[in-house]
Amino acid sequence: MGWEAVVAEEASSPHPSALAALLAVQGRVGYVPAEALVAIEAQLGVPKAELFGVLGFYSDLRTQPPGRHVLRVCLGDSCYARQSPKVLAAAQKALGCQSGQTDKRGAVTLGTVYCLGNCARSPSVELDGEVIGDVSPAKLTKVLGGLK
Amino acid sequence: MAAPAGRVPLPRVASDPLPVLERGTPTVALTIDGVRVRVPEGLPLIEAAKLVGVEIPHLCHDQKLEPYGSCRMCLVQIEGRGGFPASCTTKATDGLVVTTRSTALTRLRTNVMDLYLSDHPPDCLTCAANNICPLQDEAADSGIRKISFVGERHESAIDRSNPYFDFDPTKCIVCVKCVRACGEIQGTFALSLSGRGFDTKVIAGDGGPFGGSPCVSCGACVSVCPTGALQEKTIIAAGTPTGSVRTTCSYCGVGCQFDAQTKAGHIINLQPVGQSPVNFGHACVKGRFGWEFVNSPERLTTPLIRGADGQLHHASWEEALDRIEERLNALRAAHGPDALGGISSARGTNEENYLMQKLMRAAVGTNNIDNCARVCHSATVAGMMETFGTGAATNSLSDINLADVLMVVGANVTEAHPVTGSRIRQAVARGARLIVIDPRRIALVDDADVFLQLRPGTNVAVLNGLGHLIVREGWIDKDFIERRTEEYNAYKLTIAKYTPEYVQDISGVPPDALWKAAYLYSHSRASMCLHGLGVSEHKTGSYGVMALANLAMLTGNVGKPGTGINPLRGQNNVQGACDMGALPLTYTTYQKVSDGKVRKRFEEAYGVELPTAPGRKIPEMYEAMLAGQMRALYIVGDDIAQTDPNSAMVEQALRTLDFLVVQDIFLTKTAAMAHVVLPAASYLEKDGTFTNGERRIQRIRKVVDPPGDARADWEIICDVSNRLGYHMHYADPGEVFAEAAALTPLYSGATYARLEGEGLQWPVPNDRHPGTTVMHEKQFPRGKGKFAPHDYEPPGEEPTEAYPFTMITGRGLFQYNCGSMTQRTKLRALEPEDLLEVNPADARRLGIAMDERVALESARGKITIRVLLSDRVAPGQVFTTFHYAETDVNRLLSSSADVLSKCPEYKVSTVNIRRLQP
Amino acid sequence: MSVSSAEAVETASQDQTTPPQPLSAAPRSWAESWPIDTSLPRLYLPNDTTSRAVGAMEVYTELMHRIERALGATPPTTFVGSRGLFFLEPLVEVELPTGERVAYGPMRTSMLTKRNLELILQGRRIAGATLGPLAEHPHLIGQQRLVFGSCGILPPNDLQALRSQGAYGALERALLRSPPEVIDEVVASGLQGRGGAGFPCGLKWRTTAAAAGSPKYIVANGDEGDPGTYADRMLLEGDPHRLIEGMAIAAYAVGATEGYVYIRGEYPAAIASMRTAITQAREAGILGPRMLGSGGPFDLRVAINGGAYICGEETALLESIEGRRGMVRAKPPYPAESGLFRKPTVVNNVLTLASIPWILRNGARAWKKHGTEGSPGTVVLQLGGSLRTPCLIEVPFGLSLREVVSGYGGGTPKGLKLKAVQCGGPLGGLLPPRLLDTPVSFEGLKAAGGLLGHGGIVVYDHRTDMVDLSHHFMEFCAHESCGKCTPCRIGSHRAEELLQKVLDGEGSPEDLDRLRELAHTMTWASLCALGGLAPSPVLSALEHFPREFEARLKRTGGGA
Ligand SMILES: Nc1nc2c(c(=O)[nH]1)N[C@H]1C(S)=C(S)[C@@H](COP(=O)(O)OP(=O)(O)OC[C@H]3O[C@@H](n4cnc5c(=O)[nH]c(N)nc54)[C@H](O)[C@@H]3O)O[C@H]1N2
Ligand SMILES: Nc1nc2c(c(=O)[nH]1)N[C@H]1C(S)=C(S)[C@@H](COP(=O)(O)OP(=O)(O)OC[C@H]3O[C@@H](n4cnc5c(=O)[nH]c(N)nc54)[C@H](O)[C@@H]3O)O[C@H]1N2
Ligand SMILES: Cc1cc2nc3c(=O)[nH]c(=O)nc-3n(C[C@H](O)[C@H](O)[C@H](O)COP(=O)(O)O)c2cc1C
Ligand code: SF4
Ligand code: SF4
Ligand code: SF4
Ligand code: SF4
Ligand code: SF4
Ligand code: FES
Ligand code: FES
Ligand SMILES: [Mo]
Repeated sequence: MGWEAVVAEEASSPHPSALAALLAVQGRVGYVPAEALVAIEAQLGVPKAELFGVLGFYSDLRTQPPGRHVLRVCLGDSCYARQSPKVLAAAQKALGCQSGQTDKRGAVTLGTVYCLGNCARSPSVELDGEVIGDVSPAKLTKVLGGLK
Repeated sequence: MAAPAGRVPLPRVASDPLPVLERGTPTVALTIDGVRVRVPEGLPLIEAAKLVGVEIPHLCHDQKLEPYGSCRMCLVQIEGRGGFPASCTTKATDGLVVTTRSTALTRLRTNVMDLYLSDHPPDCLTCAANNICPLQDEAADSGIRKISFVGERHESAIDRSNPYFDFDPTKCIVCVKCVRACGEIQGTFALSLSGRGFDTKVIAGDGGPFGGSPCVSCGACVSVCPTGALQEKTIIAAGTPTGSVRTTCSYCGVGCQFDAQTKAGHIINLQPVGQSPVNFGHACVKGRFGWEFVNSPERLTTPLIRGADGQLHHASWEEALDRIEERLNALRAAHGPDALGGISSARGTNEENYLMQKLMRAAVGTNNIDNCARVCHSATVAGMMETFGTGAATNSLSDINLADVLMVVGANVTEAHPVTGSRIRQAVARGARLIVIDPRRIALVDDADVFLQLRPGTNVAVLNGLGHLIVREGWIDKDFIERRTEEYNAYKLTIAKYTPEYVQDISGVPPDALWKAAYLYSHSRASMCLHGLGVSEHKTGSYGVMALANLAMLTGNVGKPGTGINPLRGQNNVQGACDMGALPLTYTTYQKVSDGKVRKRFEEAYGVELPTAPGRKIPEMYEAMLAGQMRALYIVGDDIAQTDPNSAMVEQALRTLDFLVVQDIFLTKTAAMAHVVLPAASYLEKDGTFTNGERRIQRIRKVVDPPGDARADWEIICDVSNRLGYHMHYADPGEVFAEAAALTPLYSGATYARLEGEGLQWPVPNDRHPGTTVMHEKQFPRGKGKFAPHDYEPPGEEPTEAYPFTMITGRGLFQYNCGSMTQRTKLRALEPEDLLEVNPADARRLGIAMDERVALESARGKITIRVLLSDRVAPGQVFTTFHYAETDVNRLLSSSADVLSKCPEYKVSTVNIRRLQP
Repeated sequence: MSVSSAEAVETASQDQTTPPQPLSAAPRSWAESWPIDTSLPRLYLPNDTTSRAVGAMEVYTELMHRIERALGATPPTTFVGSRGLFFLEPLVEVELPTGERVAYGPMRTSMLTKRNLELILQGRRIAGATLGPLAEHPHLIGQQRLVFGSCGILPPNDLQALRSQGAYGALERALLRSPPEVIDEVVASGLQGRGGAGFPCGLKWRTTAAAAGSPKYIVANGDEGDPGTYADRMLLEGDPHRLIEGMAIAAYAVGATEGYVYIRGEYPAAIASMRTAITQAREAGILGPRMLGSGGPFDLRVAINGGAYICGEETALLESIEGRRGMVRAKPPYPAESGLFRKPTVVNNVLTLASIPWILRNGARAWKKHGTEGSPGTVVLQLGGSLRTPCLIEVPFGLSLREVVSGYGGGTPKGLKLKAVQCGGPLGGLLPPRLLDTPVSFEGLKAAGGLLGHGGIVVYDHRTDMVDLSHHFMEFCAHESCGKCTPCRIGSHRAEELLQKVLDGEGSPEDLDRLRELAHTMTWASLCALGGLAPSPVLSALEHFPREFEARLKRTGGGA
């Protein structure tokens, strides 16, 4: 639901882009459903293999619905220098899952990212698209505890 | 890993040819490993190096593909530049001083090879690519001793889903050549990469098996793969081939060149030839893989004679020839020579067609000789004769690369002439504009700038409409019209009423689209028209062709590179069959039987008096048979009972014959009706020449022996002639060719010796003439080009209440005409039956579901057929192929035909669809 | 520095009734529901991602809430970008009747007592957060804000206010000159690309201007992939019109008619801000069929990366805009001749293009007055890692690393010892403390075995394990390799495996040799600079901290 319009819009743009369509669809529904792939292939005229190739290249794209929240822990250099691996470890412990997975409750999908542009207030995480700076393992555990 | 000693490297891609030096490109001088060389500017260094005999190691470079630069084996050093540029992506410029061997380079190359091998199975000896593997060669050359890394290796199962080749991902080195070949050469884009970094891998379609992907099995990826990752099953089974013979494909009129590779007297594979100007190393699935029919157990291996029991029985050649001699002599004596007739094979060689017409004319004494061009592009020949004075394609296939605008009219090129289809797609990718005129949304429509989706049978209206706009808007080539043509005024008068609105009423083509097409065609440096049966196989087929020729003359798009009127001739040698005089009204290359001077020359050559009465065209033969005027027919390689229209009538006509001889490689529907069946050798079992659709005469060469007692057509024809008392003795087809060429002005400069290499495009008037790529440069054979305007006339049948659907028939990629050959290969599985394509809107209305079998009915008869829902066809129209005898589609067709040429109206008949189970 | 005419403020305040994106995630806007009292002083509120990441929105909301409770009305507000003094965020600036702006920060909600609110609205001191006029802040005094002159000061999405302060004036002037003259000016400035390679901007433009083919394109590279950098983000969020102006000038100079701003998906606020600005520029006739009514046609679109570092590399970036896998293209041909859709294309970093308006307005000579011989102009540095006051600074080229790290960055936090400084992101080298006197310039860093890159400077303290850090870098390279060329596709993975082995205590001295040899192969045989430079931090770690690696090697019992 909701993505048909964005595929149609991208198809009518002067330079239709499979990547843009995929990102737009994911922007609407949080992932790229199989039907959206069919629509992009048909409406943008992208060869099937290329579309799946694009899907397999960009690490933000996913074909399965994520949990109710998406958490990404920054492993960029500044955050690393400020002990972000410990933040990641805390997240893994709190959620009981590895990066790339969703916790058992289906509440949070955990991921990592290289830099959120918040390096002046590292370590950083991104929760549902909003950056949180100055995170510590304790602070993150608390934030995660409050998520439904 | 180490390669076994003493192996004989056999080039895997049949050629890694020297770069083509085009005349006229500026050159630069550079030094490679101390040798000075002059090369065309912009040539990749790796190609330039070849010219001084230096082979730079490479795994991802291929002359046929865009420079890519991924393997990093081809690094070199350039004086004054830092680092190690890749020689495949660095272009030759003046003054470069290049070093291709040094310890620094060896260090890098060895280390890169080290990385490759660290993710590669360790055992070449069990690999089908052993000895023919560039990776193995480069590994050996790099001198690598042992692998430095112990780490993760990719493991995945072999994908065996394609009928012709396997994909073993563990051997893949991600050079991406396959992906590039599929896009850049074939134009199918079935492959891509997925993942990135170490996880980068080749995928077909959505990443599932090749078998379920959009792959059309053309084999381009297999040809370029530098490892055993993509490998033909026949090589996996039989091992490395040891011999190689160059020959020509015997399916369609493109005329692709192949190296037939053999081992122990068996064919292992057919490798497309890189240097061929026809197929530039490419091929389609039929030519590349669909040759296995030669080994079919169903091949005819002995003559068959119909016994008193009405059945066909094995017989010896003596017995069969005795019977033929006796029956033909008797019938000729009783009813005169014109009661006999012959149909020659457009699948056979020039030599065979030449002998066949000679047999009928000199030995039998009749001009009753024709070939399947009659049911194919005879309307094209008639139309082009009228306007230009000759019937063959004006330009060359490679002209597609020179045209700014390509206009494809009534030709489903990616399926019927796939290699030409790829060429068109390549041209479009490089920026050429494409106009498609077709009632169906064929694959090329995806690449088109304009698509004129007309109603079947309305070409004349649409093409006149284009002329109307071009004249009205003043987009004409005045100079060309004045200097080179006549009858322009008559044309102007005729097209005056073909306003876009009028054209829309007739054809359904919207005015905007018509305008855009007219604009494009008339606003280029060179516009090239390619057409197919969608133009010729109509009641007004020859008028449609004339309408195309009119447009070309109107805009000056004929007589120069990248232009012209170019029928995509169908059969491998339909051009040659016509050139060789297997036609009722002409001797070789269209010299008229009615011309006394010509006849005299042939009579002198043949040593007999030749018949003067005009011969019968195939449909006229049927009429004559039904009227009892023809009593015997000798058919070589043409399954008319399945493929000619109104097949019930055809069968009936054949049954009236007192004697029917069919010479084929399989027991076709027609052969099954014969009194005597003669077993012929296939194209891989004999020598000779084919002439392709761009007038290129090319050699075919014997690769293996024919099965059993089967013999080459030319030998059989000679035997028959000798039995009829007219002596034909030739040591080999070369002698036949020499005789034919001497009597054939357009071929006179051609000899087998001169045909080595790329062959020759006729006219080749003398033995120094290089052949002709573009015809009519200075003048037309008839002098001036003649505008030949005709008004639109409706097709023979128009939808009625009883038969509300217009049926188009035509071709599918994986089957070939009567299917005798393709259905005896794995291609059968790729296209297992004829399907009726129905627009989903119509299907909904009729309550028909996908895959349902329905009854399809016309005024002639009724068949059943499975339905494929597809918006490739417009509502109100249906489409089917005619490849399966079981379907018997042609039973539904009428005998309606082009008035001038008798070319059947295969493209329009009206039908009714009924559900079988309500 | 003082703000605008009354008229501009008037419109600005109206504009600001709908705060700029992305406030979607912020609490419901006060400005929508509460009456605005224009007799109260205007508040300037940084709405930068980092400001929000440290709770700016909560503070602002609480601030307004409490003022409303106290006074029954709220003061007019203007959202601005950040000035880069991130250690002061959340920050609030108050515009006094004199026009002067005084700042408070870092603000905490606990500071928002009634008394403090009164003081703040009068611009008076409060305990713990009074900063005074920011322009006089010691951090800003030494800076030369040529590119970041408006960021954090002027409202990014208030086109009228911006224009009254000179925005698009450089474009106007450029349109009065001939395209070659504009290019000559840029060439004369010596402006070098800020994306990493430092290629002279003017020469690139000249190539594109001369290249055959149309249309031509301008692409702003806002991928900002190097971890530890954030200047592009700040500018895209805080002063997007400056980029548009730079791109428009570039378009005029080379004859381009279309452009793209390519932004990484991690920067949603930058994407939104850029999109708004483009719409505004289009509506104002700056972009569109005739630039400013007198130039040629030029229009812009935003394209977004989907999580691939390599798409910052210009050719991979072009593939990505075209919608494909971001695989690097072999060069030549360079994008300047055959780029987007195989047409001549200028690809410049955001900061490169954002430098253009200043240069065109003030002249190449003025630009060259700053910086060094080999690196004219100012450099935008982004400090991160183990520092007391990490921030963005714009300073003339030539300062020493020490001045930057210890001065602006405030040195390492208490109790932590500086161990290494990384310049130029994951492709740059690690410099040990003894090299801190290296001048920050293209040539200075190069000589020290480092790289300026995009100006990211990350400081590591003594807790950092150099083997683990090396592994971290290689993991990044392996993760981000596009997979096209063998040395990087397989090599980065093998290097990561080798470092893992050493990290696990299973490595041998031969493994370190193998690693060095592999680094050599990657450096010299890779197709692009990712594979080519990724070994540098590892090699520099091996060079400067060899003992940490040796200590990790497997003890092989019998010695040697
Ligand atoms: N795979 C394969 N290849 C073949 C063959 C084969 O059997 N199989 N046969 C070979 C032979 S003998 C021949 S002659 C060629 C034929 O090659 P083509 O001429 O390409 O073959 P068709 O598929 O018969 O028809 C061509 C197109 O004409 C269109 N058409 C139908 N009616 C009209 C009309 O009124 N106007 C226009 N403009 N178009 C119309 C059809 O929709 C169809 O797309 O192919 C050769 N190649
Ligand atoms: N409905 C419908 N019917 C059509 C058409 C259509 O579009 N629609 N197209 C028409 C066209 S264009 C054509 S050309 C015809 C083609 O129809 P046909 O000419 O009947 O078909 P082909 O399958 O090409 O093969 C002719 C025969 O040659 C045999 N043969 C192959 N090689 C050799 C050889 O070396 N020697 C001998 N002796 N025999 C050999 C084959 O086994 C086959 O039986 O079909 C026509 N029929
Ligand atoms: C691996 C890699 C990543 C890069 N990432 C960026 C980037 O994020 N932003 C950028 O502006 N340039 C980046 N570049 C440099 C660009 O390729 C290109 O040189 C630059 O955008 C040109 O702009 P400039 O001349 O203004 O610097 C990267 C280069 C490489 C090799
Ligand atoms: S693909 Fe080549 S290198 Fe690999 S195992 Fe087979 S023969 Fe050896
Ligand atoms: S066989 Fe041809 S169509 Fe199939 S994947 Fe290979 S190149 Fe593409
Ligand atoms: S399958 Fe062959 S051609 Fe394709 S990438 Fe792998 S090694 Fe190269
Ligand atoms: S295109 Fe025609 S000639 Fe070429 S391989 Fe295919 S069938 Fe044979
Ligand atoms: S070095 Fe790495 S990122 Fe660059 S082209 Fe090679 S594989 Fe791709
Ligand atoms: S390194 Fe984590 S936000 Fe930049
Ligand atoms: S052949 Fe040049 S990089 Fe592969
Ligand atoms: Mo045909």
